Parts: sequence; structure tokens; C-alpha cells
Amino acid sequence: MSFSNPWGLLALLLIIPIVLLYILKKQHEDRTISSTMLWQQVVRDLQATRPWQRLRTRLLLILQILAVILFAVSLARPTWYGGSEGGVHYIAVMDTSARMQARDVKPSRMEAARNALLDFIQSMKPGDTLTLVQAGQQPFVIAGPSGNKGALKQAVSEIQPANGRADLIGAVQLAQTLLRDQSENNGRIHVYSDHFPSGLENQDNLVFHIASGNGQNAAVTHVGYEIGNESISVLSRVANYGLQRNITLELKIDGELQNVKDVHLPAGEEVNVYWSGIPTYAREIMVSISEEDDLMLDNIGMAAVSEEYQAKVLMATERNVYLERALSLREDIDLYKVNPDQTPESTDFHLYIYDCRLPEQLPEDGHIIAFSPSSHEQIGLAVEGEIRPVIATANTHARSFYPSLLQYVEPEGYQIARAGKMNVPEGFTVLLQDEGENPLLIAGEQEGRKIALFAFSLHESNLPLKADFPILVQNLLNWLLPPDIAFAGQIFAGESLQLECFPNVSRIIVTSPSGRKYDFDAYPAPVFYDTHDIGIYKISQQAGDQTYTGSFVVSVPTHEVSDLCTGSEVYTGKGGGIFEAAASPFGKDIWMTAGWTLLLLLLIEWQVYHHGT
Amino acid sequence: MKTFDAEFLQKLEHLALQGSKLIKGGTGGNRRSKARGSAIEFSDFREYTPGDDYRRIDWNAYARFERLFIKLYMEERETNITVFLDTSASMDSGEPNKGILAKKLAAVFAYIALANYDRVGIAALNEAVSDQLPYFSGKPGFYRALEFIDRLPFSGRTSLKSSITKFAPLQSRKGISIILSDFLARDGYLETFRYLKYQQQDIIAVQILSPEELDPRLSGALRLIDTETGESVDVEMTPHTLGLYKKTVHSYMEQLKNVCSNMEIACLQVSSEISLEQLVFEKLHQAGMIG
Repeated sequence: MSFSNPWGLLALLLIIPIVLLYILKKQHEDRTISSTMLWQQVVRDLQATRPWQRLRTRLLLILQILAVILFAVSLARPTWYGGSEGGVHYIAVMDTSARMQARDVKPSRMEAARNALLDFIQSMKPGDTLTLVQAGQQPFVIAGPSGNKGALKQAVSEIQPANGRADLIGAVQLAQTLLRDQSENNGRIHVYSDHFPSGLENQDNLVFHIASGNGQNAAVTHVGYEIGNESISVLSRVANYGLQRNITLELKIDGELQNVKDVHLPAGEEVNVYWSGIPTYAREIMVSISEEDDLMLDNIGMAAVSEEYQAKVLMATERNVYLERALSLREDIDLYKVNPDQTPESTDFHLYIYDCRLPEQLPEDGHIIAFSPSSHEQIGLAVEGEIRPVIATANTHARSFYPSLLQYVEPEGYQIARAGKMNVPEGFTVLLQDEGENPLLIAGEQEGRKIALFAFSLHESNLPLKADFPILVQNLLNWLLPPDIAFAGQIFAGESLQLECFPNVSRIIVTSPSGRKYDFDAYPAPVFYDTHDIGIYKISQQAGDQTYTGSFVVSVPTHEVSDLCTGSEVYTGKGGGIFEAAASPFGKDIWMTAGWTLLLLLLIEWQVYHHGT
Repeated sequence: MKTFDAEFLQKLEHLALQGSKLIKGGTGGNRRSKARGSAIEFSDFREYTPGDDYRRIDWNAYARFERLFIKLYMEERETNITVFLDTSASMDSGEPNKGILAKKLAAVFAYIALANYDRVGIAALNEAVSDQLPYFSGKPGFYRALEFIDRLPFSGRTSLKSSITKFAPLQSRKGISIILSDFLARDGYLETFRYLKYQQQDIIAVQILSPEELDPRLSGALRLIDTETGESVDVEMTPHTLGLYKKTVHSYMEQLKNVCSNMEIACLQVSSEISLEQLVFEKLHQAGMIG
């Protein structure tokens, strides 16, 4: 048994004045009567039964003290967790999604769940053990298995709600796996969340504890912008996940209040709000809801206006219309063409495309795309003989290394008349191959340089005739020359971000909204994980004397966390149990029992006091 | 006392005290004697007292001694009726006041006695006989008695024993003693009854208690102060305590009733809230005190 509200035990202090009242002599009021002769007889009779009277007085005192104890216990809301004998292994899964920060359950869903979990740990019997799993963006074990209540409580108290989504199903699956490994047959999983996700029904050992209310929430679900010739236009989208209401929407540019609009939000609908006339020098756009609601986290939406940089690309080719057309889709590219035997005047290019033989000495910097290359010692490439005719198919394993390179590209159906039979140098991954697994397109990184090698000439395949070709080229360009140095303008809290960078960049520095700086080596491309804070992250890339700056926004996944009522339906299936956190978060709440016992005690006291028996 | 108007007094004319004692030494009353001889047989003389029937004055004796003497006969001797009225402080309590009812009842007994040609003496009691109206007869003296009763104050303690036993006029006079009291006397009443019996008195005991004494409506922690003695008792007024008190009152009244029954004493116990008419014409009659 444990107490949901231990502060209620302070009511035990009422025992002190009750005892004092019994100790202190009572003040008698004077009353003149005709004769006290018979009253003296009464007092003598009372004294004759004094032992019983004393007992009765003490009984009254005892009953009153018991009543106070029960009253205090009722206030403390004791909870009984059943009569298992111990030795049970539990796994507690704590939902840390942003929605757990909702305050429709006081003080918050997270705190209600935390208190309930602490109570549960307190109620664990000797021999019981518990493993604590945190269900965040990625589920992971944060403590246990352990029977040390102090350590477990400490771990629970340190759990902080995230600003993103939570993979609750993944966490339960992890818990089930752990339970199979850690417990033979009598384990149970207790999930502390604000909803019951579908797909977990009919699991005998699963108990859900729901901390959920009827939250009213509005959220800024999107902030986007368009840069015009003279100003920036902003589109913001506000969703209402509650009853009909009016809100005030504020627009701030680089921290300064720019505009305010009153917006009517019908119940359950989303409204677009447009802002115009924003100066082009704006870098940070923030749209926020002025009114408070049950989840404040999503009341702010942001967008970062990144600087654009022109990439210099040198293409050595006799003529390749397909490639030129595909490259021309990127407006931020300055394309320089040379004949294969010409030496470029400048070597300061971000990308070199060799639609011919590779030069023996590769440029000092810049990424490389080569078609039908010959053997190259610097790369470690060996091309020996030919294969013909071949049909190219995508290498399914490549997606795990470069998922974006073959994105939206058909995995098969490319006919090639003739291709060089090349090896796969160290650091390269095969993207396209023939039926004999001979590589036809490989990509890799060497000493900070990204290289993509086609084993064939575009003129000797039907690849440029396919609709997939420009997509493949754009994928390669996005990999080699990110259009924005942040690559992804917006991610959700808790998600990771691979930091793409320009060629010859040596250091990447990320500054979080709180001002914390993260310093990375540019190669291999680092992955930034610490995206807990909501806001604008600034990126700085150092390339010699030049510094590229940009930013990206970490926002709340409003589509998953802003609707506070989603998934809180009561689950009545086998093995599960739902308890409203606002009323009784966990287990069998026995305060009602204590309350009825208190009433019974008062009745007994009344009987003793008024009838003496 | 406004109660005693002509109509009320006329009703009382038809009533008579039911005494059982043979009376000696009285004048011509309506109570029959068990002495020998006929009804008109001369028995004795005694000196005239105001209120005596002047028709019985022996004028011959007056001629000889120049003093008024009354002839006494064996038949139809008058009876000495002594009304002992408790005027202690405890009687001056209750709502309705039990002392007032006792005074009215004393007047009623006096009038009934006078209407039946008996001699009436009234004694006011507290620790002793605080005041007394000597024996007299004849209805004209009723208003004197009424005035006497009316001006009696309530004070002092109740002590039936020390007061009645020291009432000298009672000695050697048979008759009827009427005690009007709450009988809340610390020295008891048994000795008093024995003394009166010894004095050959028929005893009529009327116990008057107030509603507050019979069924007190008290609550809380009280210090009860005795209006006579000033003594105090601390009592926690619980239903249990009040119940115990009512049992005590009932037991005390039963005890008085049993003592009276054993000693052939006519006893009546009433609450002061009873009306005088009901008390006189119903209760006293039912108790066999008047007929």
C-alpha cells in the first residue's frame, strides 16, 4: 500500500489538540437550581461507575484519535496494490512524449504519472525487482533490473519529459523482450502514459495507467515563408484541439514583435494565417499564441530563413545534354564546362564532374562524379575489362548507408550496353549493380571527399531516358552539394540530423537555442542528436577563411502530440487496466474504504457518548 | 390571590378533609367523635378564641367570670388542621413556580377546614418555623389566613425535621397535619412523619416539584449551585447523566410514596405545572384527601 497524497497525513496533527482537550479541565458554566441534593446522588452514582466511565472516556478519546487517523489516511489516499507475495519482476515504461507535459491533470500528466510510479515502487515487496524503460523518441532502459527502491526512485525522479513524440509501442515491445529475458513467468509490465495506443490489446501481463484529462489546446502547426523580391511572406497554420475559441496570434521577427492578429478558431479545425510585408533581412520568424492552454509547448512555431550559397561545379565533357539539363534544375549551381583535355583555370570548385577519363591527379578539394572511369590509383579504383549487355538493379543494402541517394528511384529496369568491370574501393558502397553483382554505380567518401562513380557512359544506357534520371542526379547533388547547409530546414524534437557540409569544410559548430555549442569534425559527416530544445539551432561551417552559416528549426510534432484527447479511450480488453489519473491514478484506491470506516467510527462514538453502552 | 374568587370558594364549600383521627378538645365542628355519650352531651369549657362560633359562648360563665368561654360537647368536635407550608428558597423555583402553587393549596386546605368548622393553624417552614398563624376557626378568618400566606417569603433551607418537631402548638393536639413541600430536605422526612404520628396526627403529604426538577433540559458542562446552601456540583450534562438523574428523581419520589403508604400517610406528588382546579377537584379527591 502506498499514498497518492502523503501530505494528507499532516492531518494527524489534529490528534494533538484532541488530546489537549481531554487533558485540560473543562470550564463549567454556573447554573443555579432549586436543590443539588439529587444531583449529588447522581454524581455519587456516576462515581460508582467510574471505572467504566474512565474506560468510556478513554474509549471516546481512542475513537476520536482513530477517526483522525482514518481522516488523515483518507486524505492521503492510500492505494492497495494487491496481495502478491513478492519475487515479481516488473517493467515500468514511462511515456516521456511532449503530450505528457499537458497540465489538464494537476500538476501535469508527467508528474501524475511520476508520482504514481513512485508509489508503485514504494509498494514493491521484498524480492520484487523493476526495470525502468523510458519511452521517448527511442525507447531505452534507464535503470534496473533492481529491487533497490531508493535507486529506482532516484531514476524515476530524474526522468524529464521530452518535446517530441514517444515510441510507446516500441517501448512496450522492448519491455516484453526484457521480460522474457529477465523473468521466467511472473513478470508484469506497467505502462505510465496518457493514452492507450492501439495494437497492444490482449496482452495478459500489460497494465496501462492513464494520466489523462479533457485538455484544451491550440497549436501552431506550421510556419513557412516565401522570399519575394522586396519582402517575405509567411504562412502560419494554427490548429484548435479543443472547444471553439478566439486567440491572439503574435508574429515576431528576429525577436521583435512585428504584428498581432485575432484569430477565431472553430472547434477541431485548422486555420491558415498569412503575414506579409516582412523585410528580407529577417532571419528568425516566430509565430506564437498569446493565450495559455493546457499544453504551452506547441503554442510557438518558428522558421529560420537561411542564407543561400552558389555552388561552383566544373563539368569536363565533350557534350552531355542529359546531364546539363539535370544539373540546370538546381538554381544555386554555377556550372562551368570544359573539354576533357582542358585544364580549368581555377581549382576552387565544389564539385567536379568527369564525363571522360579521370585525371591522374585529382583536384585538392571538391567532390567528384565520374562516368565510365578508368583505373585510378589515388582512389583505389581498378577497372579491368567490360561487361555487356547488362541490366542495372538497385543494391538493396545501399539504402542503409545512403538512404537518400536512391530515394524515389526505381530499383530496376535500366539497360546498359557496355560498362567497365570495376572493383569497389575502400569506403565505397554499391548503389547499382548487374545480375552478377558487378558494381555499376558506387559512392563513397575518401578523406572528406565524396565520390560517385558510374561504371558506364550515360550515352550507352537508357538511364537518361528514364524519369528517374533527374531524380537520381538531384539525389547525388543533394548529397554532394546540400542546397542548405542545414539540409533539412525543420525537424521534430528528438529526431537526429545528419549535418551535411560543403567540400573543404573542416569544422562544424552547432549552437542550440539555449546557447550551448557543439563542435564536430566535418568528416565523416556528423549526426546531431541533441535536439531536445525547441527553437532555432545555428550552424557554422568553417572552410579555411570562409564561414558558411545557416540554421535549422527543431519543432514540436504537433500532429502527434497536440491533440490531448487522442487515444485516451478506456481500454477494457484482457489484461489491461485503465485508471483516470485525475481521480485515481493507480491500483485500487482504498480511501473510500477508509472514509466509510471513519463514518462507522463516528457512529460508534455517538452511541458510546449518548448511551454509555 | 385572585384565584380565590366567590365561585371558586363556593366549590370548596362542598369539600371536606378526610381525617381518620378521633379529635379531642375541639369545639363544634362537623367531624364526629368516637367518644361516649350523645351528640349534645356537654363535655368541657375552653376560652373563646376569635373565629369561634359565638352561639356556643356560655353566657352564664361570662356573667360569673366576665370572660368568654365556649362549651365543648362530645359530639361534633372541631379538628385541628395544621398546614405546614415549606417556604424554603428551593420552593421559589420552577416555571410555573412551585411555591405559588403550594401557597394556593395551603389556602385551599385552610378554607376547606374553616368551611367545616375546623380550627386551622398555618406554619411557614424553612430551617425552623419562620412564621405561623395561630389556630383559628370560622370562615371570616380565611382572608386573614390568605393575607398571611400571601406575604410569606421564600428563603432559607428546607429542614422539615427541625422545623416541625419544634412547632409547639402541635403538642397535645390531635388533628390533621398537611405538609406542602418539595421534600428536598437533606435531613429527610421520615423522622418528621414519625414525630407527627407520635403527636397523633393524620398526615397529608403533598410533594410539589417543578417541571425542571422532574425533567431537566440541561446540556454541556455545568456547575450546579444550590439556591439554598450555595453548594455546587460539577456535572457533564450528557444524555446518560440526565437519564441517571431522572432515575434518581423517580426513585426518590417512589421512596416517599412507599414510606407514606407504610405509615398510612395520604400522599400526593404533583408537578407545579398542574392547574389548581385540577389539583383540588381531581388529584386531591383521587388521593382520598378530601371528599
